[in-house]
Amino acid sequence: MRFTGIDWAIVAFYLGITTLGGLLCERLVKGNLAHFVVAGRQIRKFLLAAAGSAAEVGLIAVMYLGEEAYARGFSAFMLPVLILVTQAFIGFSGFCVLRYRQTGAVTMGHYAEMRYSSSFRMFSGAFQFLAVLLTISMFPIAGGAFITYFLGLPANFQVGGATLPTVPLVTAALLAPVIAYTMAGGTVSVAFTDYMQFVMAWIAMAIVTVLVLADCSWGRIVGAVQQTYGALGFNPLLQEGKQGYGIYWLGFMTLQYIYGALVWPPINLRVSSSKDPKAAKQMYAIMSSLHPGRCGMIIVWGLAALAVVPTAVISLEHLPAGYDRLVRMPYYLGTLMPPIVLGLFAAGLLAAEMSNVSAYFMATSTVGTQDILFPLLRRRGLSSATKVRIHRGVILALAVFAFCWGLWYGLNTTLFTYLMLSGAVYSPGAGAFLTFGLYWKRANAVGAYASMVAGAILPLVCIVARFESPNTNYILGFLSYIVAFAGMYAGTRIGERLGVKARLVQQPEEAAVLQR
Amino acid sequence: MKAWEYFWTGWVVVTISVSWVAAVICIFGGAIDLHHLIKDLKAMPQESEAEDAMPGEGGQGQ
Repeated sequence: MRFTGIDWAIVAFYLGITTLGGLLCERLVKGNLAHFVVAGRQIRKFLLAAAGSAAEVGLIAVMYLGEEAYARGFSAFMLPVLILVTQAFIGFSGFCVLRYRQTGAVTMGHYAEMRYSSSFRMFSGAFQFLAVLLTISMFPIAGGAFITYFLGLPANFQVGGATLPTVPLVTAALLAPVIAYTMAGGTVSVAFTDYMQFVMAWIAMAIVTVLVLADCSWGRIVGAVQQTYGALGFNPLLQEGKQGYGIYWLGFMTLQYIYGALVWPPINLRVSSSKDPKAAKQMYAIMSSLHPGRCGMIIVWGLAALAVVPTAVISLEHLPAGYDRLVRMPYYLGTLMPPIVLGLFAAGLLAAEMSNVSAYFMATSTVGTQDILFPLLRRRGLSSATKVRIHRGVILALAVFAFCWGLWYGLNTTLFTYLMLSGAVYSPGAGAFLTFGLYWKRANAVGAYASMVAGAILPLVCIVARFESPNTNYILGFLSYIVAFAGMYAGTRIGERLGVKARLVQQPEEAAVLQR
Repeated sequence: MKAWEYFWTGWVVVTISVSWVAAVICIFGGAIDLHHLIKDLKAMPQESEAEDAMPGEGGQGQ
């Protein structure tokens, strides 16, 4: 146990302030569903970018980026390269995001209904819900594992004669306050706390990067990567067996980053919450300058862990399979920091965890309610306040499921690859019906159904079959996009022959919107 | 391999520097935006007036 009294005080103060602020946001929601879900569509560009950055680079990202750096060497910097290229592309061109925000859709499901049909909304919503559920279920356990190994907590606690495992307890303790304030204030709470966490996490990350480089020189890091991985550790296009990335990975990731940034619920909900289409577009441009450096700092920590603690013996008690490499970086960081800095960094980490979990749980519950539950209950005429209560119940149910799934499911690949595959259950099909729907007037519901089904099959096969070869996962992931887009086109043409007409969504002129 | 090493070293220096500048801008810009958000939400109608304001349940959007 490395924490001192002052470290606990820093963490308790930070947690208390953030949770209290998040809970107080309930007053701004006033039982209004539009406020709860999309913050009244009043969020401007800097708050969108700061909150988006906090939500997208949470503790789960700290974990998987650290693991990627540990397992791939400098090649892991290819991830921030892709983030920069894809987000700058969306931010400066307005690809999809401008037209999507102009439709006034609240969720992707809502857009699916406006452009295709009511039944397709529920159908695509179910895929989206499944994909995000599989993804977010790894967040709490990864966060719990990070904090446990970072603080050097024992594997078990003794409470009144009973022996309790640490990782599940820490996981539950992390989850509880986040779920409480997300249930209270919805997207308003998430935006407020994400901003607070953005500030805190950024300060902590800057301090830790300086400490890491003071402890482990750049030359030592380069030497360790050379010795461990050789050329594979530097050139991301090379691949041998399970080592390195390769060209298939690059193809899959490029598509996954573009469409993940457009259709993935937390970021998509942020687009819907933006004050206008221009603010949504600018959010991506600003994030393209924030994200690469932020991810780069974490990768530097993972590389330093590779140089300093590659052979340390670390107990993996109470963790699912596949967590050895994941806990190396938190273990290293925990040994590195003096008191006070340790407390500040732990508060920053908790900030990252809370912002990430709250944004994802809010977005997932929005999909579950807006796209599946409320359309089913439409005839009952539920009041706005009742819907907010149902929404809160769904958030709680998701938290319970995620806690149990994370403790049960073991990893046979890197955490990052798992997350990309679970995301790909939804992204290829949604990317196809979004792009065709916004840019091709003839796109119809038959094509949308075909794209959704075709895009989900291959990633689901990867998750269930747990292929040993990484290339198999990358190739199938890449192919899922090709199949989804081909399905959208072919389905639309078949639909036309069957007499299915395309629905069109009225959109104001782009130029007029941009002049606001 | 040496070329990749120099490339990644330059990449780290440039992107981290740019992101720190962007972060400072976002911290101040975000605080102003947060202030506007609270003000705007306070000025918006109460629940009874806004019962149909949520467009995401089969409506035609905003």
